[in-house]
Amino acid sequence: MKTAATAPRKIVAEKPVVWGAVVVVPFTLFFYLSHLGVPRETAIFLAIVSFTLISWIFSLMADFIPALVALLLVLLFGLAPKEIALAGFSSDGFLIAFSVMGLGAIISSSGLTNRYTLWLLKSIPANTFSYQVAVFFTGFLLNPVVPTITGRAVIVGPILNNVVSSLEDQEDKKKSSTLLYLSGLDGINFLSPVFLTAAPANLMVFALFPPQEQYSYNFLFWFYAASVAGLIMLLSYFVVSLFFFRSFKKVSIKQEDVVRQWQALDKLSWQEWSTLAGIILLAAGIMTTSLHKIPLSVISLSIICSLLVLNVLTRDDFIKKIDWAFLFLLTSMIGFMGTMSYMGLDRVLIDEFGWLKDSMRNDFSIFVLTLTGAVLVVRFFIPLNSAILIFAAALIPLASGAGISPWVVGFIILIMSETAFFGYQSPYILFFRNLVKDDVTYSEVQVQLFHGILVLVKLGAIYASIPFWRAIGVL
Amino acid sequence: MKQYLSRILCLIFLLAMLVTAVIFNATKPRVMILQSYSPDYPWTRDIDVGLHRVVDDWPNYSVTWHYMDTKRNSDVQWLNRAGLIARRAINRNDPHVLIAVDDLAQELAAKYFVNDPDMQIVFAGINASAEPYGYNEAENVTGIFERKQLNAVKETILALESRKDDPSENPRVLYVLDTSPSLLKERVLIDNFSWQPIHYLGSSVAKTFVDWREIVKQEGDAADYIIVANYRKLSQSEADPSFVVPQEVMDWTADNTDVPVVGMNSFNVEDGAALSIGVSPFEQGEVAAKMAELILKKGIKANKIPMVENKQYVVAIRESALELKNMELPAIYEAFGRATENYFEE
Repeated sequence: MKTAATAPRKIVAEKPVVWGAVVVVPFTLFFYLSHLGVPRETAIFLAIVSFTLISWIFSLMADFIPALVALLLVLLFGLAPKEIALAGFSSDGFLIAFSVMGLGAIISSSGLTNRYTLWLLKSIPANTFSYQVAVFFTGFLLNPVVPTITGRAVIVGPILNNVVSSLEDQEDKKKSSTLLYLSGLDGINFLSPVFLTAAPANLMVFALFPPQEQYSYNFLFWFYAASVAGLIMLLSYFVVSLFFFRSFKKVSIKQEDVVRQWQALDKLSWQEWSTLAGIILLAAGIMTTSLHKIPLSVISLSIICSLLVLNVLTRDDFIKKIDWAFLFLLTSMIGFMGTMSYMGLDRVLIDEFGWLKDSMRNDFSIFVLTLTGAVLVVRFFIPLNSAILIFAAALIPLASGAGISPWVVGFIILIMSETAFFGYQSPYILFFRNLVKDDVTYSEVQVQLFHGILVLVKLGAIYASIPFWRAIGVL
Repeated sequence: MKQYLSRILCLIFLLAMLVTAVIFNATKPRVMILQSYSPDYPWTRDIDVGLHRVVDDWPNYSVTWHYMDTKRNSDVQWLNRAGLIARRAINRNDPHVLIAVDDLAQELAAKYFVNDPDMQIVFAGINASAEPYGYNEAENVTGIFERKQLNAVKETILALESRKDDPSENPRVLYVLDTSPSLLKERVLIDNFSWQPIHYLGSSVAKTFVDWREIVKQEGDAADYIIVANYRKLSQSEADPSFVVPQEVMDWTADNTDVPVVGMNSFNVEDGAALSIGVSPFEQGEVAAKMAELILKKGIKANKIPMVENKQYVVAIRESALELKNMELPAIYEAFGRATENYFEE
């Protein structure tokens, strides 16, 4: 989920109609609302929202830029004091995102992942099920510590290439490659909403929670609340793939190359040891929060500072491998939402959309279905980050007002938004395809059909989690 | 060799930093403030102001705030959930001192920690008795009660009455309330208060705004003054359970009766009432925080600090609403209202 395109960019996006809309709509909206007697500050704020939405929906610029411009306008028009508008930079969400991104950068670039790949290929039994599980779980296990889907793709892609290339029999390769491709792709994103630190979008939703909810839904409780849905999704994934592909069988692979490479490996380097220590310390820090009382944001910042002091994360990597564009998107959105709350517009939103609030509270099952439908439809037109931002910004304040946890609404938005049938819907799909295109051939139709079935799996997992959520006070 | 030594020293530095930070955080005093309502509710907002007067001076204490939001949402399902979440937050925070404010915080969360050997509880805002929560026999509880300043309310009504052209010796007073649990609990205290020489007509509970309007129209005409405390739990009607905006209740009441409305909470005037003599929320917060401070600094058990009742009250005046009812107060009231920034001219 990169926030900036990698292709050469034109100076200004060639979308004259959209640029026209950016000029006309905010001003028209401002004057119209002023004419209706809406307070001037509110009219200005809504005009800024219109600019941001148009820019996001029509991908007029990289997605962090409209958010940053919106923040600038908030400051320029004095809609909120600097402490509110720039609060994102001191937020827990920012600290966690920044730190885990740094750790993810080191994990991706250290030799640890290569060592792991070789160990995996050397150790697992030669059948398609083992490979599917290995490829899927490689992506899955990286969720908590590599906080971008593209970051995990960088690690899983070569493993997938290795596995598929190692298949000696062409018939094996042909029959198994779609299954393995899906395992790689889904391993890195299917269950990412289950871990707070698995994707920038999760951190973005977390950052939009009220402070009290942020305190409640730290890493462990987020995982706990998502665990039933996650477990159902995980088990269902393998059951569905069993019936869908019906192709679990023994395969033969070229073990000699793998064993040779494994034996040629040096001892663990300083960088690998430090990275490993960083992961273990982060995990230990999270697990022992009740003892030391240090918040997750400070734990993760401590790890990243330690890795900087040790020079394991170098200055260059610090500059290049941390997604600063995303961090600016995150902090801008936190500031923008804070401004909305400062102006009292969140309460106006709650009052105006009382019916939706009541629907959330009284007909949660129907609300889930409606939200799922809306997210899936919108995702055909609006990019991943923007869709999540728009839904989260609109619905999280309503959830708070409705007396249900904003987490549950954010979780559903995340689970459903990650669904993509076509490459254009998600940048990480295109990225993953590019990574494996030379070694892996697969059926696009089968991939789309399988993802269609997974929507039902996700929906089922959400519904099955409702009693659990009620029992633990999420609903 | 240099490289090796540098790495070792670097690791020692990081380890020392880590261990010191862990020890510092694990041992620093932790206070959790549990509010029954939400931070934008005026009563809670002002208690927070009182708490901040003390809390902001605490060096290196870890202070966590938790709001249960039980005013806007008050159905049984929500209350159970709010209690569950609050208790979980307390368990996770594991505070040395828990400051629990208003009745629902006690009922849904704090009472579960009575006699917890590692936690001291300071309550504030309990309207009636602390007995239902087991605080009277607890070893780890102290706090400040919230008792309506009925004597001050009585004196104020008499002062208003004395300035009328044709004052009554026994002005009639009607108390109208909603179904807030805290109001229902203290209703008996108000009903049994010695109101003489005022002629107290009794209290009427309104479940809905429809009820409220009927009470004000039918029973209000028989009164010279209506006293109110809260009306945030008034649903629109039996059919529509959504709560009426408080300002709408006060505006309607002011517009549809000649009888002046006297509030017993300072925020009643913010909502539109002409005058209020309310318990000081600032005092509730400040006293509770000072008790917590005493427990932490002296290392004493909460039950060594006597439970107290509030001493301060706040006068709030809306000049325009008073003038509409041709009411006048002694100048000292206006001075008090202005001094505490509770005098509204519009």
